[in-house]
Amino acid sequence: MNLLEVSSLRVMSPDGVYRVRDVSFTVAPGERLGLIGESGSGKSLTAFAVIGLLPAGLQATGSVMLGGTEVVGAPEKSLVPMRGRLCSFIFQEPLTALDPLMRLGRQLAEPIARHQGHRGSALKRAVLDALDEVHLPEPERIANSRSYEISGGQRQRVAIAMALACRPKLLIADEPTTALDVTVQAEVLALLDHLVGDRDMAMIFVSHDLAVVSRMTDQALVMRSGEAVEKGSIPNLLASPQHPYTAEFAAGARRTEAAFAAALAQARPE
Amino acid sequence: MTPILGLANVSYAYRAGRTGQQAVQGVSFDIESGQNTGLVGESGSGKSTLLKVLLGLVRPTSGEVLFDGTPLDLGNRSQVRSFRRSVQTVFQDPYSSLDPRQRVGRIVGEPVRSLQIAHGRAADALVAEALESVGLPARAASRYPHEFSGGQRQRIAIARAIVSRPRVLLADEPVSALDVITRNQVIDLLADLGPSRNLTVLMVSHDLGVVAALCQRTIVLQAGQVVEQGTTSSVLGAPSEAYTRRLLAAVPRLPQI
Repeated sequence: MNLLEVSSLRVMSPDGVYRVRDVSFTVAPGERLGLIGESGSGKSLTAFAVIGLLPAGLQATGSVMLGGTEVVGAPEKSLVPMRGRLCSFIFQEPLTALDPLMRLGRQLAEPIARHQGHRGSALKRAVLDALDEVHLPEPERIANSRSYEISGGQRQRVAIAMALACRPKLLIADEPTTALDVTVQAEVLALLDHLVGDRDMAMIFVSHDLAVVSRMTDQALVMRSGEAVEKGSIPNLLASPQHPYTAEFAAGARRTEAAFAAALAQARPE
Repeated sequence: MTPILGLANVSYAYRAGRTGQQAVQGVSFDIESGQNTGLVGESGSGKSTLLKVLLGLVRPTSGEVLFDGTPLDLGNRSQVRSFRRSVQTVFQDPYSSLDPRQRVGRIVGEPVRSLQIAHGRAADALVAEALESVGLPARAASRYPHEFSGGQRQRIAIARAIVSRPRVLLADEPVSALDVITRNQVIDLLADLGPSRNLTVLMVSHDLGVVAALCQRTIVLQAGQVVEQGTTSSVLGAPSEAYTRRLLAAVPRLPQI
């Protein structure tokens, strides 16, 4: 059985415009899928709709079956227990996911306590273990810090630790490294890759950057103006795109890649 | 040939004298005519501080900004006026860098008025010409920024920057807010401005692919110091510093097909 079945998903904004139109795809347990597109393509809205987190005013229709439960139209009360356990979310900007007034250890303790039922010193131990798992140095210090006291890369690691705390089956990452420096991005991608792989989790990786997506997934769905344009393996999307938009998008991504590769190749002394 | 713009042993410290923490330290480089230059580094490397120094917005704590080989003196009004005409800038975010309540013609014409380059019809003609050279119709002048897409807005920002016929354009991450297809179009535009308007670009960027596509020279900054500089092909192709190699290794690559 598929972990996630999205069929004919539509998302309508208050002015009656469809921001996502008839998008369908599935994710099997342990499968990874990239959602690729430019700004306004509907890729993030599709990801939000999967877990019932659409911004106020946006209305989803169609069907999203997550772990056998219909998400579209479900009351918030029935979605809460699914979030974190079945499916969690990593956002682009970890500051929006973290409460600036609460020490990071306490924030992380919440989902861990709920999921594993730990209390007291066992809970404290579990929090430090979770921080250690995302390769944060000095877990004690991080646990006692607030979100604004640590770097962007460290914040995203804390957000990853929170998202993984309840051992979800599906992780949705929405541009999780776009706000990070390139070396930090490489570290966070490697960390995500290995954590998701170790736990046999499924993942939806949302990004505008084809090279970043190709680091994390093989299969990708290309979106434009709210529609799913083409789905396939990334090498195929690059080598033999079926849709003109995929071709244009792939050519755009390949151009800077080619310039970079050429500079690497033609070293010559000054 | 004398470089158009250069830094000679420039250091800059915010809150100088209190913490003594230097944002940039002993930085020297030249911008030569026709050599587009990429200034590469991660957050906190001092890129933005160097831009402020290069734009003459702040005085270096020590060292000099050299303009046509002469130290820039921010108190010398005639030198500063000539400097402002010659050195213009484009910012990262075309949504925040254009005043939403001014028509495009007024935005693009601002340097013409403030630098007293032309008046009336002659000024309008310069604006029309600048708009056309960035690929926008002259009639765009009568519209407002919100009527344009992100890529078009960045073209408007570039039109404003080139209207005074500067020789150097300092561009702070000029394409990082743009989608991939638009990004390539703006890179092409910046590359074309070199030969067509005798303009040299200094671009601050974290994206080595974009630098490779546009810049003949590359300067790598780390923690306020230049770690490596040279031709883009030598810095990227045969980096001599471990930090440069680390940056290069971190660049996400497309699968080989």
